[in-house]
Amino acid sequence: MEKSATFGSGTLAAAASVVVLSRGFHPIVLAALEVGETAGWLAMLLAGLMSASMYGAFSYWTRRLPSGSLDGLARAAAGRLGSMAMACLVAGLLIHHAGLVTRETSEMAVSAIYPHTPQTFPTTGLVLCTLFGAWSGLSSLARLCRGFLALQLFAMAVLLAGPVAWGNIRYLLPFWGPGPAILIGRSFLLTSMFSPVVLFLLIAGGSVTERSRRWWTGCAGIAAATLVLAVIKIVLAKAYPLPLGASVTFPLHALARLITGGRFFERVEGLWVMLWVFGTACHLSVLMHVAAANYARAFGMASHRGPLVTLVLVMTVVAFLPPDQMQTLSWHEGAWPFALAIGYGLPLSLVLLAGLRGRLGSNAA
Amino acid sequence: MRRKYRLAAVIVVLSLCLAGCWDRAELEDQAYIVAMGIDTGGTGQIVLTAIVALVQPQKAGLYGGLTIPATPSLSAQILTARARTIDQAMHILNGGMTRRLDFRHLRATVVGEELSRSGLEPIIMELARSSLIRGSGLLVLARGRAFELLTKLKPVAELSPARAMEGLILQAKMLHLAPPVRMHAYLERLAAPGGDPFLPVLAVNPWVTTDPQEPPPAESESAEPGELQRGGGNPVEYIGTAIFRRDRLSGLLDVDETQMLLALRGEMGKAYTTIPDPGHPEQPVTIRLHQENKPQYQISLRGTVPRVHILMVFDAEVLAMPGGTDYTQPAARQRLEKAVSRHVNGTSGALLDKLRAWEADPLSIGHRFRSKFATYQDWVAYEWPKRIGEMQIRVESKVRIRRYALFTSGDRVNGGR
Repeated sequence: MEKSATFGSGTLAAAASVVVLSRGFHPIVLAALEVGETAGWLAMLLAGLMSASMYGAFSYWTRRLPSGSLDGLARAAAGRLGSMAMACLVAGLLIHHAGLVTRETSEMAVSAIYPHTPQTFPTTGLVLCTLFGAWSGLSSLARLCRGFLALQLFAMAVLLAGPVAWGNIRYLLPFWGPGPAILIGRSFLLTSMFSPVVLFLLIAGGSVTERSRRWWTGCAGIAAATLVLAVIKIVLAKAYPLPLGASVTFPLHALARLITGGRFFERVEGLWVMLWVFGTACHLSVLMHVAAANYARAFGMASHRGPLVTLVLVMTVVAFLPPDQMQTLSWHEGAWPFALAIGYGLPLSLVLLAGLRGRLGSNAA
Repeated sequence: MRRKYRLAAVIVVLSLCLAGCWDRAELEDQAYIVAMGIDTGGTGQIVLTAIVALVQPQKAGLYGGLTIPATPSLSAQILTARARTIDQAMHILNGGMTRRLDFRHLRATVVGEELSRSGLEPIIMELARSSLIRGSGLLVLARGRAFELLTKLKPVAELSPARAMEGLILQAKMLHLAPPVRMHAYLERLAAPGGDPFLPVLAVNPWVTTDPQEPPPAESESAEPGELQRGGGNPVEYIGTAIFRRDRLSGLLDVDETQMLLALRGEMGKAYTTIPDPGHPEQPVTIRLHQENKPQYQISLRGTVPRVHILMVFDAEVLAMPGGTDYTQPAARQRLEKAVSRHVNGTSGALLDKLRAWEADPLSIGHRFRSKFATYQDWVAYEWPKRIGEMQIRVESKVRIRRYALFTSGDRVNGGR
């Protein structure tokens, strides 16, 4: 992270929202339909609210740490060595996540939009965009996300209003899907989808100028984006009922293809493709930047640019590892336990450890 | 300054991408299929019939584009292929083409009756999987074979094949002769447990030939698909509804039953019906029914038997009353309202009996029972299709005559002298 990176808490929340919303058109969000069945939207909402609450709690507990970031917490809890281990774990999770998101996006582009284009073409484009975005620094990225958020929300609102006439709202019943107890349990598993954004907020939180407001603006960023994702789930489950809905490869693209207005107004999905690709590039850039910045801090490097190229290179390798589209999705779902452990378990352990050692106070390291 | 040069270099490089991505497809190299028919081809094969739009250069000059040929015909060619899948059939068809066939402008897909009886799911899923075919395209059942129907299609006052398909459907939608169904709507009704899909029917009317002749006398009050009392013009007519049980065709509905199906679904809008005049039973009364509001469904699930009560409310306008009865008087008006209501209840009751016998639920009544179950697994385990036959349904309708067209008196201005 560049030393001068500072921005307001609103910008942090906007960046968090973009990171969450950009996942809205990836097939992995269909996991909500798998776990929540007819209540997939509710599962998504519960998972988002749980993640926002957990981030809020971590943020509140670490409010007196001078650095205000995950690295400072790790140093307070486990010293420099612990900080290095934490940075490696976080970088590992984020690289794995970003690599698979890159592959998912390029697979979707090839199967749905550019059937004659080699898969390496969109992958290479995304990797270069990620490198360029992450290289330019967190201030630029966060402000870019703030500007992009309004456009993204408008595009999503139009996209969700377009296919509203399709389907039957009763496809969302029974209301509780698999039942309230099972739904809540499975929604907790789904919080793993939000691990990267929680790690982003914990790492980038140190750059926020108004420290006292960052916990609730971060929570609000996640919660607002989750609400939009829940609405996407409702429209999707209405137009693509279970069990059909759980097998759509490109959810929002499938919805965009249903938009028709009279005899001549259709084929408008191309308008959204650019926004989706741009949103994914923002998502990847932000996450790879915080992975590199956290790593650089833990290992005492002067700039995030040192490890960034290496990390993006590893991300590219991960993107090419899965042999096919289905393997990419299953690798992503297979990493849920690790995402839960690193996204929530690791910060919680560090908070407990730092608390036990009495280093969460104002005079901590 | 160096930054500016760098930025300019990036813009120049990126601008190279604006010309397209990969494997560009020029318009001149494409041939667009606007309608397609699919029939069984025996031993696991299908017969694909494709209507390909002809691209003709326009004449120069102010009125060049308005030249009508001496013998107007559909500006299209019909191709057929036998294969195991739609994609394979496309490859076979492309073997004889100088342009590449493309589904991007497909407006309607017509499925043959025999294929529909054996199950449409594999075909529909293949269509839905394609990135070129859109869910907003129309899906239609052909009474008989789709090939025969598409080869006999001769639209009146229309040269464009795409407009011809859309025009047929637009007319049927306005007159409620058949329900327009888009492919995605069929797929979504097929996928969700709790309802069954249905399709509009295209049928060849054997009475309609090139030389117009007077239609034969009607055998029944309502018209079956392919039996409209007309002569001359397009032998293909868009009328009636095909009811499916999951993906298999169960049976066909005539015009009156189609109107009731739409009324029970709350999609009727305006429809025309002719009933015997209650004052002079030998004379007819033609009414335009207007369904302003959705029907009200009351459901209950006592034991295992589902019970349903449906209330439909219609506004009506009297269009023709050759019997001469003055229905503007309150007592006479109420008598006519009751007669229309009895007709609606009778037709809809007969329709529901037919649907229960077919164990099909095109009204999506099952989805109304979803809220009675605690979990999705409970709902799936209830096995709705098995309950349709034992469902108890009561239909009630209320008709209110609002208008009498441009005259309030009966159709005998001289008092019947």
